[in-house]
Amino acid sequence: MRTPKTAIGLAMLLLLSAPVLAPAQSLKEIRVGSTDITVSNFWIFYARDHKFFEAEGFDMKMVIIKTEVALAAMAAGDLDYSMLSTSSVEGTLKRMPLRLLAVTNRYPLLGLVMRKGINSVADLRGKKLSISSLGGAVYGAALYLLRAHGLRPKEDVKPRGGRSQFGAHRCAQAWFSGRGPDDSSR
Amino acid sequence: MTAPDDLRALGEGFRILVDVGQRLSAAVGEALVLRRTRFAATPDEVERFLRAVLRAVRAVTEPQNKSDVTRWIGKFFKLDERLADEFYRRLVPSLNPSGWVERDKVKLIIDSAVERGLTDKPLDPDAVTDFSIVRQLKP
Repeated sequence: MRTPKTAIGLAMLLLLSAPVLAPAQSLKEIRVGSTDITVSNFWIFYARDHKFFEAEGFDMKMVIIKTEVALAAMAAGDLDYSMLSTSSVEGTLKRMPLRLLAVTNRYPLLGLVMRKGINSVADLRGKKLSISSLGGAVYGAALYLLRAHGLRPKEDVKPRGGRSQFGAHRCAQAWFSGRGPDDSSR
Repeated sequence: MTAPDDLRALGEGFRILVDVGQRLSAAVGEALVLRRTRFAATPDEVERFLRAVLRAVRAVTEPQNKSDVTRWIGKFFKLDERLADEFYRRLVPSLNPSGWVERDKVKLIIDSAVERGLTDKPLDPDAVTDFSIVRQLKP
C-alpha cells in the first residue's frame, strides 16, 4: 500500500523531471535530404552538435538519399528540406514545385588531385580520372574543367566512378550513424 | 576529390593540381530547398530553421570561433591538427554567411541546364529562388 510520503515523493519526482522532459517532447522533427555527407553540408552537423536546431524547436534528421529520389520525396512532401542546389534548380525548370531558400556555400571545395609527373590538366589526355560517382556535382565539375582545358570527356580522358580511398565519407558516415569518429575504420 | 579527402591525399604523395571549386562560375555549393506550398504555409517555421542554419554557417566563419571549429572538424573528419588547420583555411572563404547569392549566379545554372537540353523553357531566377527570409536574418 502506498503511503502519503511515497505519493508526495513521486509527485515531486514528476515535477522535477517535467522541465527536463518538456523541451525534448516539443521538438519538431525536420527531415533534411542529401545525397551524401560532405564538406559542403557538414555545418548541419555542427549546428546539431551545438544545439542550434534545438534552440529553434527542431529535431533535425539527415536522410541520405539519391538525387532523383530526393526531388520526388520533396515534391511529395516526404522530405522537409533538401540540400541539392543545381539539381533542384533543374527540377524546378521541369516544373517541380520547389524553391531554393538559402545558399550556404559560395562554391564546392574540390581538388583535382594528381600523382607526381602530371603538371597540367592537359597532361590528362589519354589517362583515367577517378570521380566519386558518374553524375552529380563532382562529375559536373570534372566535365567543366576538362572542357575548359580543351579535353573531351570520355574521348580524351576516361572518367571512372569510385569512392575516395581517403575516408572522409566513411568518417562522416560513422559520425552520422552515431558510432562517433573514433569508432569508424579508415 | 572533395575536401578534405584531397588534403589527405597530399600525405600519400599526391598533389592538388587545381582547386576546382573556385573555377566553377556556373555552380553554387550547398543550398537548402523546400517545397513551394510548404514555404507558403509555414513561414515562421521556415524562418526558424533557416536561422539555425545561418547561425551555424556564421559561427564556422567567425574568427573568434576558429579553435572550436578547427577542433570540431578535426574530430568530424578525423584530421590531425595540421590538416584541420589547412582545411579550415580553405573552408571559410567557401562558405556563404549571407545565405543568398546574386541572380546572375542562379541564372548561370539555368543557362547551363538550357545548354544541356534539360529544358527549353528558361525561367527567371526569381521563379526558382526565394531569399526573402535569409536576407532579413542579419548576423
